[in-house]
Amino acid sequence: MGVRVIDLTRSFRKGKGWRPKGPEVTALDGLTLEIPDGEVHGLLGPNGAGKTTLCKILSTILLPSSGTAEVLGYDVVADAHEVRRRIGIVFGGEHGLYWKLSARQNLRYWAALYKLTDAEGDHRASELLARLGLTAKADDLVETFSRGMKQRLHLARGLIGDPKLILFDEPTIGMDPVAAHDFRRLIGELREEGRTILITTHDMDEAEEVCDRVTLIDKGRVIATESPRGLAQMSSLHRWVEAETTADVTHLPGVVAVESRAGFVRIKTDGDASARRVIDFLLDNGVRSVRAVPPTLEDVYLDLIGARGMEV
Amino acid sequence: MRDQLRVLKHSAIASWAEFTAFYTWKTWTFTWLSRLLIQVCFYALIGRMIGSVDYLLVGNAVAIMAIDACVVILLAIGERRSGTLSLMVAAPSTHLTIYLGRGLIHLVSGVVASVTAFLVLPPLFGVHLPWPQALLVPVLITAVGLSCYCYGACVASFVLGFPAARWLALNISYLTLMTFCGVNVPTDFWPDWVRRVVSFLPMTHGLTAMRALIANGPASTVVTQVVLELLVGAAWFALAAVGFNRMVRRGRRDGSIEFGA
Amino acid sequence: MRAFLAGVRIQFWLIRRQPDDLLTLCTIPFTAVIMLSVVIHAIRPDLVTNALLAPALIGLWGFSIGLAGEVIESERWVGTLNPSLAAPTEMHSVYFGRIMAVMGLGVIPLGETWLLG
Repeated sequence: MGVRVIDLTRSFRKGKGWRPKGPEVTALDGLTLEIPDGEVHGLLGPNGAGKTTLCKILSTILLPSSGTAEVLGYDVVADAHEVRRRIGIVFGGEHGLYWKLSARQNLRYWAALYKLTDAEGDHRASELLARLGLTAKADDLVETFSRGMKQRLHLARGLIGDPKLILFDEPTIGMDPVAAHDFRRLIGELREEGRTILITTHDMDEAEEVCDRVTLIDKGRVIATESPRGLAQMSSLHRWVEAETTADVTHLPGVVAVESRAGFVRIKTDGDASARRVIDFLLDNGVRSVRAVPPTLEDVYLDLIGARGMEV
Repeated sequence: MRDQLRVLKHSAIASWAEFTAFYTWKTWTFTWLSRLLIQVCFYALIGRMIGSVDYLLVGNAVAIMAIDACVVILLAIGERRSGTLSLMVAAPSTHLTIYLGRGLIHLVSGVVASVTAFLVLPPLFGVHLPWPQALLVPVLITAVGLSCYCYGACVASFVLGFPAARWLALNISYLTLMTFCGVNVPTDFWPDWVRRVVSFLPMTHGLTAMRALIANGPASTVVTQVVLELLVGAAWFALAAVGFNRMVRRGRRDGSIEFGA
Repeated sequence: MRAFLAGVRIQFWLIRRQPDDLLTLCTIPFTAVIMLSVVIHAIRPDLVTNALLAPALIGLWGFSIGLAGEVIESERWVGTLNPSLAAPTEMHSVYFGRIMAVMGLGVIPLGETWLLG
């Protein structure tokens, strides 16, 4: 089992200083989750749902208040050292690198910290630099890197210890579309190599594309764990119809909502029968391009967690 | 052990690369080294006024070493700022080793500054160093530096939780050494209890050894005092190890080790 | 006058938030003890006044050069220099206020060493 989390709870006391006196806040509330070896697992949820808290506990930099968490069979509290040898951590943004060092120096430094010998460290650093397309800039200072390059280097850093489990905390924040695409391809490769991957993300498309299963969490509790598609089917959600038309369908029975943009409409219906009715109507009206689609992960997310607007 | 040495080596290499990206030898000489030398001159001039120029010159030439060695206290905030503290804690290496390696360059900088002070300033103030014993000066300075460094690392382990107090901690740490450890006046100037405390601080024994060496004192005194200095350093090292474990435990408990910065 | 007082006030607020700026206040006693110990050890009572005055002066310089010099630089660093230059009030009096606040604090070391004496 890659990750096994049982009834995990973590609460914080708000405030600053040696002994914060603020109110207690529960970040994880009896969370239970199992991720088999070799799975790419997505962790979805609004800000403050407890995603990062879970990642921090799994990476041994935070202790749980109660409950247990195991990584590859090792307890994150009792066997923290064994866990640390086997995990890689990647978080989004530009932090986690020494800007006054070159890319290669960064990697060799971390290689030593992950107990690689000098020769192994050299070899692994070159290999990862090549894999992430940084060979040409390997000896330039990180501060001269673009944001995307820093993120790639951060990724290489996370892979330096040849981890069996990789924790990605919001890895694609601020990535441009090309970089994000490359990132997804890389996740695929890492899966092929048999690594277990846990990704927290806000990006539903990303989760849908790369994850074998996703877990929706909110307020520190699991709402559902399923494959992205299974999640969509499991939920008694509306069926969508997409069509290239400007025809007005709002008057049809069973139509819940219509989003239209540039001659393209997405029609939310309350079930298969209504969807069929909408499709028939559109075909009768000479619309050529029309199809029924299951709800996307985003629809499920919004349905289960609720649209909170700007709330956090 | 070999793993630990490798970690020490690579964090030292990394800190050297960072140091040289920040300083060139010119900027180091004209901003940092000159600031330290002027401080020694300032006290040596006071020494000249009261007629004990050699005492204050030797004391302060060694004391500037403590400033550099204590800079290790400031590194904690750097790790937090660059967002690497969490990664460092989550890596399977001993945190103290990493930290000591990352500050090593400042120890070297301190030794070089202090040795330079011994080379350049005594002739200016008409102080005579005995030959060839003076060749041992760098060795003694390194011994003092090592124990000051362990002392700094120990303070650092406590400051890691209070980044806002880092400058205060740095200044109080080295000023304590400069004030009470026999830099400007012999330790027996102070009340008994201060003297007892001071014998557990770095620099005290190292300076005694240095003064004995320069005064052509008995070799046994020099050796005993250097050994004592190193023992004091080892004790501070042990305390630093405890402090670092405690800091990491506390950070894991209260969640103050953040991903990112 | 109002701008001047606003400057004084904001400088005090900033200093309260960043105790590091008050560092000099904590280092002065050490310097004073060093100097005093040196002159007492040398049995030179005539120099005690100098030994007390010197740390106070060092404190004053430390404060004025360190802080006053940094007022504008740090403003640029935080990115508030441009907005404050564009504000409708004359900035001179605000900065004058801030620098005076700093100098006012610089007098504290004098009191400190007087207490030690």
